[in-house]
Amino acid sequence: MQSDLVLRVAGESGEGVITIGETLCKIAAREGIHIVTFRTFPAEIKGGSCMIQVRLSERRIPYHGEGVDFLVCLNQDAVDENLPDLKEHGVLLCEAECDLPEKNPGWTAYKVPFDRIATREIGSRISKNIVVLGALSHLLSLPKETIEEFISEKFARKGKTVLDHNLDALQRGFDFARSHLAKKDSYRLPKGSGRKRLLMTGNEAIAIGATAAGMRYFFGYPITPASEIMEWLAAHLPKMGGVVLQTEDEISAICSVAGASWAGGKSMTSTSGPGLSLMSETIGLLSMAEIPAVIVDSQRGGPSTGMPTKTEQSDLLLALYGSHGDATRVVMAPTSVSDSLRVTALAFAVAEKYQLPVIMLVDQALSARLETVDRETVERLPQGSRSCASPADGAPFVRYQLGASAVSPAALPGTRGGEHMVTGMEHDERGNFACDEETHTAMTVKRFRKLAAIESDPLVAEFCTRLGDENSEVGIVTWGSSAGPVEEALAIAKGLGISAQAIIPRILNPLPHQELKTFFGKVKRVIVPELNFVGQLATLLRSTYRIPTIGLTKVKGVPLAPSEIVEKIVEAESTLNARSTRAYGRAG
Amino acid sequence: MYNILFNRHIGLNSHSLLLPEPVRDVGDYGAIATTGLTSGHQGCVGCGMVSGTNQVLRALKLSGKHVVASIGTGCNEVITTQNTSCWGEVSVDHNNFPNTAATLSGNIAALKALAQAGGVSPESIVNVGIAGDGGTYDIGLQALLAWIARGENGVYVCLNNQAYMNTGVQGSGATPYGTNTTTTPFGKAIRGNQRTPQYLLDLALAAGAPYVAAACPLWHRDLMIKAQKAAAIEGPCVLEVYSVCPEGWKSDTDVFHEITELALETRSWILYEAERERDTNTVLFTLNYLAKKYLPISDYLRLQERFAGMRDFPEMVRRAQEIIEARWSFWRPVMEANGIEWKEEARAI
Repeated sequence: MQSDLVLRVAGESGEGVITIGETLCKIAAREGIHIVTFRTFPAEIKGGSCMIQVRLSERRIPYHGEGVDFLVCLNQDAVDENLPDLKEHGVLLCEAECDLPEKNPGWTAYKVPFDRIATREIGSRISKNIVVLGALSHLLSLPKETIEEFISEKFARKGKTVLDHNLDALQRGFDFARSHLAKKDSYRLPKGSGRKRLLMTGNEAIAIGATAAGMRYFFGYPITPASEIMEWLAAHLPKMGGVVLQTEDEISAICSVAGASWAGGKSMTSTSGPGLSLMSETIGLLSMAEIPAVIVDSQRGGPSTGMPTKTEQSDLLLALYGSHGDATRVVMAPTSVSDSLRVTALAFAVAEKYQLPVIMLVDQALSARLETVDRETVERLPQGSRSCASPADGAPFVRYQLGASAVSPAALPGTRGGEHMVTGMEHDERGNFACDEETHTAMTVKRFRKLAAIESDPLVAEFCTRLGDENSEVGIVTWGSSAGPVEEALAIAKGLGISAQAIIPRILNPLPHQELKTFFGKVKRVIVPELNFVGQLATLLRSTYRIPTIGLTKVKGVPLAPSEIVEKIVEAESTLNARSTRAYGRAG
Repeated sequence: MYNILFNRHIGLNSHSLLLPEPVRDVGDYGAIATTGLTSGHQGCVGCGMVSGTNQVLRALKLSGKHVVASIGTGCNEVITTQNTSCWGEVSVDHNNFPNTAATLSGNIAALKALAQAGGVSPESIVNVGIAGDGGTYDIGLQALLAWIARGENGVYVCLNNQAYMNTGVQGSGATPYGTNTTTTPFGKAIRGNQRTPQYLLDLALAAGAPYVAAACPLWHRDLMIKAQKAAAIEGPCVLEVYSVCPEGWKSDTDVFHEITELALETRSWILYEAERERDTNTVLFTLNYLAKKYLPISDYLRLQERFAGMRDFPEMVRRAQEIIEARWSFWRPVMEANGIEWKEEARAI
């Protein structure tokens, strides 16, 4: 029996495709199976083709899988679009009416009249997806009682008639499959550990991570694909005594964050590229005034309105350099859903401890994907707090003290003796406007010393991952959600007898210089896979370390495929022994 | 501040004190000779915005002018940009979310310059900006008010479906009190949207717009008269169009007519127009539709599941009614002038 199953459900938006996928995810989470999903969204408001791919495994998996084992198609378009991705010996479960190509490379096809069962036998066309679940539960030996439980939970509020229709649909789908489909394949639900796992999307993980870190003030403006963060918080934060305020635009959102944070509350906003562009000016203010803030950017295809429902990693340079002047900020990028929990908490720890803005970059694919998370992850999150002064009466408060530490203690508004002004203008230690040569230099140095301190802070030490064979001369540096395909690619390459190693920094500003320098000292080729056109991380690495890089970029709106990375690894490896190093040079 | 005058006449009004001639009432012509939004758009079934845009474009084209549209990000942009041929012979400029009115300004300035250079005739072009309620009430408000303040000649149309529908139904500045949206969820701690909506046309008048009007696609003759007036009157004119949204209002797709009628009969949506005479600083208000039944707001809450939560809370329904009555009291002089009995409260609250 296989330990790993890649299942895809495809159909039209509104047919209940996502419900089928999510039900499978819930079953998996309850059984203790690991899952990673990938889903596409139609650009239309209603209708349009969509799919959800779920990879279920007995062990931890970094990627949603390349090639489909088990394909479920609800209509002809879905068959036509998705059949090319079915593996040679895969299984297709589709609507009975669908035409299949004559040439069959070896897959097993099951046909079920989902539409007829739903409309004629049950009398409710929209219960079609539950008929599919019934058939699936027979074919994959899913625990039917658990599905019934989920259906009861989902439809309980809609009244008994609706619930009965759906339970009937499940039973009829199951019965049809049992009596008409002789099981010809060996695919089953992988075995779980039996220990329940948490199930959440990347956006939910960010909202939960922030809440766990003590964030109680959220300001935001709707934008795909980040809106889910605000929506989750709008439903839950008020119960914890927090505030969610939807502002009239992103400029207002980030400025409200500045206000709440200066007043002492852990504050945050979430947006996508267009919103981060609008926020750029205030990022400079936060840097200048030394106010902590966490800004989440769920990247989408750009520039401008771009492709709101498609993924891309093209805001790195904006996050690193956006805003005028020498503006300090920290940039972080989690690699997975469970990592989003930890990195969000770390973002607050760093922002508060060092009194500066932290931009966290995720992307549409990571924001929307469902993943199982170990319960322990939520329990062990990094913590940090702001250093606050106890001002003495009489003497004026010195907010921006120049001293041994780059971080000067803050005083919250209302603290007697701690009255001060924070300002976006250059200022002296007490916050008075000052534009003389010495002050601007000293204050700029003060602000940048914080970055140097962060680099060597034990808080961030574990946020750089090394993968693969540490002696290999082929190296990969990647960031964010591209880490998943890279990890998968290393395993595939190893299977082919090719060794490679990777380093994945979760903090991109300041870069973990020590780790990266060691890495570059060992490898002779540096591949930089990322989802943008110009190679934004590669640009940063080349300019910082003066090393040649091999770019692997993609702007198709979907994540990198491990096979694309393996191809680059093979190519880089083959050049290692070549006499001329002119094409690639030597790293380090 | 301005002096307020009321038009005693209630109903369709093709005249304007700012225009020498009345505009055309399409009702007099039967078939309309122009095309608006044509096939190929991807609006949802039952979408009111599609009708609204269609009628605005058809009305603007009645003058024989070429329509140059600046459209902001939003539902209307999403459903008309995947197949741009649905715009027919309209020139369209899609800009960012906050910038519809600013882009409109740019278009107007450029065409003016082109006209001076002899490239185009300014009389042959009508400039229109089209945005949703999010792009108007929230992120685009600054640009809109600044555009009005500059006094440029054009038409701004706000297609108001009362929330951010394109991004998944988040509340906006135009969302009615008590509505359940994803960012104003109806729960135990907070019961839906706690704010009352802003009133765009009040803001536009205050900023100096010479003509503002509220319309709905169900009363197409009224809407098309208003669009023509907005195009003909010199200066920045603002038209707000009620746009039924089955997806966001959680209503059936075939009750467009019923919902709009309930909105008018409960006075949740008032069809009116106001024109500002600069020299005397007088604003003339005209009521274009008088509710026949004076239905209570609870009737309006029925067909739309976005109001499902508040229906069970009489104090919330009462509050919603109070908001309507407060707004409606503005029209009391018109009622009195026409000898219509003034009803303090709707029946059956």
